[in-house]
Amino acid sequence: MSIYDDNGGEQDRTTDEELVRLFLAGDGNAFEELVSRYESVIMNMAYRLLGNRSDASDVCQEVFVLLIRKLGSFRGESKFSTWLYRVSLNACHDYARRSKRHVSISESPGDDLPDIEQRLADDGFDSPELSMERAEVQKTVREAIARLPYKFKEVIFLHDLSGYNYKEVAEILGISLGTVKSRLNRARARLANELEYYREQFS
Amino acid sequence: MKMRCRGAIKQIGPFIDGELGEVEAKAVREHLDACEECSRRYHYMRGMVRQISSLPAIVPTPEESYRLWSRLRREMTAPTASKPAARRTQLAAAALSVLVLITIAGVGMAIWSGGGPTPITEETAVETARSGETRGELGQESSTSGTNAGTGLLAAAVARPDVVVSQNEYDAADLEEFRNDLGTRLDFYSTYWYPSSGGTTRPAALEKLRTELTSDLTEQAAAAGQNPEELQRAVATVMEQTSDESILPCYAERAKIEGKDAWLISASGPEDYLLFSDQQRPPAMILASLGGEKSLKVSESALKELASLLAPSGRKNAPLVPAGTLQEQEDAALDGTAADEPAGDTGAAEEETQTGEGTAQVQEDFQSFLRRLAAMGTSLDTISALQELDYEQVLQLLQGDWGTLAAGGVNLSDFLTPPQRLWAVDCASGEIIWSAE
Repeated sequence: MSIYDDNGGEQDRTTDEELVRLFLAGDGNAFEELVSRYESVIMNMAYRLLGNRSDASDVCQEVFVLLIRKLGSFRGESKFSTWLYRVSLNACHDYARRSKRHVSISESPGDDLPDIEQRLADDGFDSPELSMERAEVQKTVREAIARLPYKFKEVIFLHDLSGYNYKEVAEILGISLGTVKSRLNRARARLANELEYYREQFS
Repeated sequence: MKMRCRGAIKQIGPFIDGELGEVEAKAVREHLDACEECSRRYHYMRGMVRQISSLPAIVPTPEESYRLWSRLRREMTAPTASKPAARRTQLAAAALSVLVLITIAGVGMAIWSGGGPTPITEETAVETARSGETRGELGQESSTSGTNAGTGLLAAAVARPDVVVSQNEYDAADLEEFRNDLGTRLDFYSTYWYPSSGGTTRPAALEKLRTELTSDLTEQAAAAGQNPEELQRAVATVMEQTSDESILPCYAERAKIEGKDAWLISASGPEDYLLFSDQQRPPAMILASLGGEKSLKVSESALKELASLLAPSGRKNAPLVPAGTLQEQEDAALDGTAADEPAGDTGAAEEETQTGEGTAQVQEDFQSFLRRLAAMGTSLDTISALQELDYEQVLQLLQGDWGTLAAGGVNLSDFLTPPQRLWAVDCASGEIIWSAE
C-alpha cells in the first residue's frame, strides 16, 4: 500500500504513459497533469533523501526540468513511474554529492557521516491534533532516517515509505533482489539500533 | 531442518514484508514461536517498520509549487494553448522575465509612497530589457493595441483595459476570491507603473490617463452591446469614491452580484509591483494564494513587540539571530513551551543593554518571540524575513514607510500583500454595492 497517490489506478484516468504521449505531441496540459500527479511524490522522495525541505524543493524543480528535456527519450519500456523514479533518484544523488562537496569546503564536519546525512529535517509543524508524544516519535524516526547512508535511505524510501515491493525496488534502482534485501536489512538494523529507546513502544 | 537465530534474523525483514515463499515463511514462523529472543526482535522490527511507513508525507507548500511552476514555465518555451487565459499567463510570464533584470524593490517602490504619486528618486536606474522601448513618464503615451501580445517582449504594448461581459453570478465570497482582473493589473503594472518609476508621475498625467482609459472601457462596452454610459457612470462613481488618486481603472466585468445586474470595476495601482516582486513565482498564483488577506502579514502588535525587543540592542544591520536557527525554534514550538512564554518580558533586557548578558537576554527574548509567531502560524518565510530587520526597519514597517524600506533592500512582499481593488456597482441604482476596501 502506498502512502502517496502516485497512480491510484482509477479506471477513467488517463494513464501516465498516455499523458507522456500527449505531451510529446505538443499538449502542454498533459505535462501539467503529470506534474500535478508527481510533484508531491518527488518532493517527498527528495525530502527523505536529502533531509531538508529547501533542497527537496530545488531538486523537485530540477527533476521536472529534466523531465521536459528527457521525456523524448522515454521509450515506454518500463512504466513511466519507474522511469521517473529512476531519473529522480539520480537527480537526488547528484544533488547530494554536489552539496556535500560544497559544504565540506566551508566547514569541517569532523564526523564520518557526510554533512548531508546530518542535516535535520525541517518539516515545519505537524498537524496540531497530533499528540506531542506521537510527534516526537515521528520526529525521531524521521531524523534517524535522515542520518542513514544514502543507499539505505533509498531503499527505505522506496520500500517502506512508497510501498514498492522488492522486485520493483530492484527494478527502479537497477540492483539485484538480493541487494535490495540486504540493504533493507542493514538499513533497518541501523534504525533499530538508533531507535532502541522506543523498543517497548514499537513492540 | 530447524532454523537458527542467525538465519532467522536475516529473514525477519522479508517475512514482515511478505517477501518470503510459503516454505521459508513457515520456517521463520516456527522459529519465532520457539525463540523468545527472535520473537521480541520480530515484534520490535515490525512495530518500527509500521512506524516508518506511517510517517506523514510532506505536502508541497503553495510557495514551493509556485517556484516549481515558475521554473517550468521558463523551461517550456512553446505556447501550450490558445485560450485567452493561457495567453494571459504566458504574457505575464513573459513580462516577468523582462522584469527579472531589475531590482523591483528599488524601482517599483520608489513611486509608491503614501497616498499619491510622488517624484522618484533620481538614481533609480532602470536598466530595462524592453527592446529599447521608452515610456519614461506616466501618461506620456496612451495605450496601444494588444496585437503584439504573442511576442511577450511587448507586454507594455497590450495594456488596454479589459471589458468582459460574463453575466456570471457572484456572491460576496466569490468576490473575495475574484482574480479575473489579475492579468490586466499585471499588464498595467508593466505598462504604467514600472516605466514611470524612471521618471515622475504627475497627477495631471494620471488624470488624463484615467479619462482615456475610461473612454476605452466605454467604447469596448458599446462594442460588446452594453450601455456605455452605464459603465462610464460606474467607473466615475468608483473613482470618486476611492481616496487613492494613484490608481487607474483597468478592468470591467458585467455580472450579477447577489442577483443584481452590476459592473465589477477593478483598478491597478503602483503597488501592483508586489505581484511582480518575486520573480520566482508566477504572479497569478501569488494573488491566488493571498486569499482575503491584505496588507501586513505580521500583526501590528507583534511588530510593536519586536520593536521593543530590538530597541535596547540599538544595533543596526545586524541580525540578532544567525540564519539557520529556525529549526530549533520550530522544535521548541513543537514541544509546547513557546505558548507559555510571558509576552511583555522585555524590561530586563532594556536595563542591561551594553552587557553581554543583556545581549544574551535580548536574544533569548527574540527567539521566544519568533517561536510564538511561528506557533501562531506566521509563515516561516515571513519569520526569516523578520529576523533580518533591524530596529529602524521595524519602525519603518510600523509606520508604513515602504519607500525607505525598499531602498534599504527589504523585499516588501515578505511583509505585505497587495490589496484587491475591486468594486461592484449596481447598474440600476448606480451605487456601489460591494467593495474590497
